[in-house]
Amino acid sequence: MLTLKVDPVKCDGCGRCAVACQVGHAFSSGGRLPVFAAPLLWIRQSGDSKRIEICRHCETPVCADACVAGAIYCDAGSGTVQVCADKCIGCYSCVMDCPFGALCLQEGLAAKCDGCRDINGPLCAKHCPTGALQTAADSRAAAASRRRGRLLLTGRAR
Amino acid sequence: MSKYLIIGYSTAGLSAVRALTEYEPRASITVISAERHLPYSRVLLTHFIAGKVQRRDLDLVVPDFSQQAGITLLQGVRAVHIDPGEKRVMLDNGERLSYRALLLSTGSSPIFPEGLTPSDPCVAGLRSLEDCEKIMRHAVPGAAVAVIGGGPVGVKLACALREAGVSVHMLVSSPHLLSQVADEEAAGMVRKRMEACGINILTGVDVSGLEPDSDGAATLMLNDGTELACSLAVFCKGVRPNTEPLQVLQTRGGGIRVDKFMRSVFEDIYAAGDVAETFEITRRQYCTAAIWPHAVRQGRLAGLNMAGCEAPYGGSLFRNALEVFGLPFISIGIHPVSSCGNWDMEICRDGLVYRKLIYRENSLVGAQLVGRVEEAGALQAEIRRCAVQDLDE
Repeated sequence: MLTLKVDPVKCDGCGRCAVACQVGHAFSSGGRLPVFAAPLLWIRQSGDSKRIEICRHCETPVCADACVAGAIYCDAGSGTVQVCADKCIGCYSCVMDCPFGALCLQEGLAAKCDGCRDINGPLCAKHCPTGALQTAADSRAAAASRRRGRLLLTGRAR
Repeated sequence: MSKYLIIGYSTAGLSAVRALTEYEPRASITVISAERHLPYSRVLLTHFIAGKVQRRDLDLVVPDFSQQAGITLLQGVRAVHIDPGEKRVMLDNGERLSYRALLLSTGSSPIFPEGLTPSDPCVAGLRSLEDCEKIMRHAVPGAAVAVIGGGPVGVKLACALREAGVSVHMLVSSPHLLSQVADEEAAGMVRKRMEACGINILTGVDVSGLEPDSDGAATLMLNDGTELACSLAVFCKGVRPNTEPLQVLQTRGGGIRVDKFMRSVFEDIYAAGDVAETFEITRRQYCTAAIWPHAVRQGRLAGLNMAGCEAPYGGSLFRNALEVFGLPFISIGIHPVSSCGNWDMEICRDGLVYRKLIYRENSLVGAQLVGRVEEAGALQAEIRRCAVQDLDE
C-alpha cells in the first residue's frame, strides 16, 4: 500500500519534488532524450505559504466516487490510485471533489500522481530535502495525512 | 425471502449492492429494475451523443456482474406498492416480495410542461438510454434541435449536440444561463463560449405550446409570440424524484426524507440517490441533490447501514462541473439568489478566468470558478469544514 505523507509545515516550496517527478517520468518511459511532461504534483501559493498538492492514494478515494466514466481505480497490486486514460472524458468531476487538489487536467485528461509504480517508489519524496514529502510504510502514520473514513471500502477496485 | 431488497438499479442502487456484498459477502439480495439494461452511467449520455464514448463505455458493470455478486436481478418490473407494516413490496407483475431491509433508489425523471409528454415523437427528456437513443435519431448533422432549460444538463446537452453537428437552439426561461448555480458574469462567460461555437441561445423565453408538422418536425410556440421550427424539443428543466409507487411514504411531491443513516421514517426502509431528500450543508435544509457523487456515497452508506453497520452520512453539498468547449466551469455550494443573511463576496477576474468566493457570516459557503478550476477540490473541502463547524456551534 503506497502512502504519501505531506507535512505542509516543513515545505519551503523549493520545487525539487516537481523536478524529480518530471525527470523520473521522462526516463522511466525509456527515452534517451526525453521530452519533459508537466509534473504530476503542484506547488501552489496558499495564503503566505506554499502548499504541495499531490495524490495521497487514499484507501477510499473520493475522486473514484466522483468519476462518472469509471476511469479512476485502485490498483490493488501497487496500492495506488490510477487514472485510465482510455476511459477519462475530462469532465472535471474529480478535480472538483479531491480535497487535496491532487488532480488537474492535462491535454484534456485527468492527470495525477501515479505513485511511480513502474519504478521503486515515488521519486519526489526521495528528493525532498525537508521531509515535507515522505512515503510512509507504517499505515498508522499514513492515516494522518489521508482523508479518514471509518469504512475501508475500495472505490472501483478491479 | 430476500434479506435485502433494492428498488432501482442505477448509480445509488449499484453502489449499495457493492457495499452490501463487500460487507456481508453471502447476503441474499434482490434488485428490481424497471429498465432492461444493466446499470449505465447517465452522466455519460451527453458524451455518447457527442460521439466521444461508445455504448460499451456507458456500462458500469461487466455483463455477468449479477452472478459474480450473487444477487437476484429482476429486470423490466416496477414496484407498485409498499406495505411497510407487513414489510412487503408488490410488483406490477403481481408478484409480492418480502424484505428485512428495503432500499429505494428509484432515481428521478425529467419534468415536462403541462400538455407535453415524452410519448410525443417530437418531445424528449434526457435521463435514460431510451431518451438518449431518441435524441440521437434526430441528432443528424444539419437537423435543428431545441434544448429547453439552461441548467447544467441543458448546457451539456447543447454542447454535445453541437459537437455532433446539429444546429442547436437553447431556450432559457431565466434571464441568464445556469441561474441556479452561477451568477450572471460566470454564466455570461459560458454563454459567450457556447455562442462562439455556434449555439443559438435565447434567454427569458419559455415554450407555451408545440405544434407537430406533417413531416415529423414541430413548431415551438414561445411566450414572446415567436415560433421556432425544430425536429425535436428536449426538455431539461429539472427532475422530479420517482416516488409514484411509494405514496405510502407521504412524500408530498418531494423526495423521501432520510436521516443521516439514510433511513426513512419507516423502519427498515432506506433511500439513496436522486429520490432521497438529504440535509444540504450550505442551504441548511433537506432537499434532493441529484448529482452523481451523492448517489454513489448515499448508496454505499445505505447499503452499509442496511447491513447493520452504523455509518453516518456527512450531508450533501450541491456542486457541478462543466466543460464547455474547453472552458471549465465549477460551482460549489450556495449561490445567493435571495439577499437574506449576511453575504460577502470575493471576486477576481482576469480575461477568461473568473473566481468568486461567497461567504455567509464569514464562513465560505459557495464558490464559482471559470477558466481555472484547480483549487475547486480544496475549496470544496473548506466549504465542508466551515459548514460542519457552523453546525456544531
